[in-house]
Amino acid sequence: MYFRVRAPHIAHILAVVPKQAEGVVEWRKAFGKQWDERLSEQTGITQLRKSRLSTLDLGLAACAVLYKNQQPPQAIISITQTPAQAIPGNAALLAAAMGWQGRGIAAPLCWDFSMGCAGMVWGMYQAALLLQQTGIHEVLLVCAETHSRIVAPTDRASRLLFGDGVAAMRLCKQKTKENWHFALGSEPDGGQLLGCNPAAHLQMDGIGVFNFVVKTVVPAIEAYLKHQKLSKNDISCFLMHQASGFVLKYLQRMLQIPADKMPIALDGYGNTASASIGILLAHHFAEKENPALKNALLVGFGSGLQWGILQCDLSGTEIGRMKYEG
Amino acid sequence: MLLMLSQTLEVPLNDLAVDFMLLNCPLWDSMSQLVIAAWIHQETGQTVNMAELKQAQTLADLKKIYTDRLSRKGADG
Repeated sequence: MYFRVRAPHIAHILAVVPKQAEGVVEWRKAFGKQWDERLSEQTGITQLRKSRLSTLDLGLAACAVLYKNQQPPQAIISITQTPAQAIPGNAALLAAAMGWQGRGIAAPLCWDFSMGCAGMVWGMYQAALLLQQTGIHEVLLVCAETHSRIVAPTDRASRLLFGDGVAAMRLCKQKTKENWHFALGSEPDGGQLLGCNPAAHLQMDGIGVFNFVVKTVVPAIEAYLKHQKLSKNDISCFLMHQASGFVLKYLQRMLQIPADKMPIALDGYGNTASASIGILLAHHFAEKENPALKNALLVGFGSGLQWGILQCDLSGTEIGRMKYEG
Repeated sequence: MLLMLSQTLEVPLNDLAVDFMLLNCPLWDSMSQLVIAAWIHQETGQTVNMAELKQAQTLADLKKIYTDRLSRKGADG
């Protein structure tokens, strides 16, 4: 489905990942004879981030930078499938920890969404909707994931793929007649392809997820571009969710996107779900003058199953240098 | 198909007879199955699910899946 909403300005994006990492050395040790080099070749990951830091810890580290000299936002949207605690959600915990309540400051509205890899795009839609309201001038969107907590240490496919991280952005109301056009979609019947019960570990059907990408995500991207009367040449940069090297290369081939227009940032981070596009931006575009982000296409896809697509201008956005925490 | 299987499973081409037992191959795992699924999609435009590939015991079973997808490709026009 397509949605149109007045475009906010994305003032600042910042990504934070744990200092602590694990990689080939640890995996070799953990999997013994089951380890082989094909694994890293296929995923494009020789190291990823994992730590004891919670999604709240990582979110707070991002906010400490984003709000160093800024007034608090009027709303916070938290996207995570691994919240710091079950109740309350990360948004309220974050507001409290930042001191954005009491002491004469109006408390921000706190929204929590349990969403995965499409979460950033869906969160941007929610933020843009909130910014249409009187009294909401700024929304903080925090996409954080600590999948290392729910991955079974013995599950080779998942342990070598999913990393921890956060991407946060400040979205501000702006006087413009420009709109954002979203394509958002769900395939709930495929939800079990990538899922997790509360007391269990993450389970992934890699072929099922691959099939979702080729049967649903690729046609959705093509349909979105057609709907927006855009060609692939009009897009300055394809910012894809960093699923895995194998999936991204296949997707790139199917869509015939030149490699230099589709950056990848998997090695060193892993698949960080809803945070991955923000981490991708920080890895490739932090503090870069004139980044090729005027007509960026953001594509999130994964657990749910869900996907979200947005073409937007990130050329005026401050993209902070990657922060390492812990 | 044989060349792809030979490279993916790291088995000499000459060893890939129709009765080649996939289960005896050390590299027959979820990773190689994903590569095979992607190859079949690339060649036929059709998808294969994990259960189908896991059920395959011999090279003949894999060929059957591939042939089935090829015929569907033909049927799709």
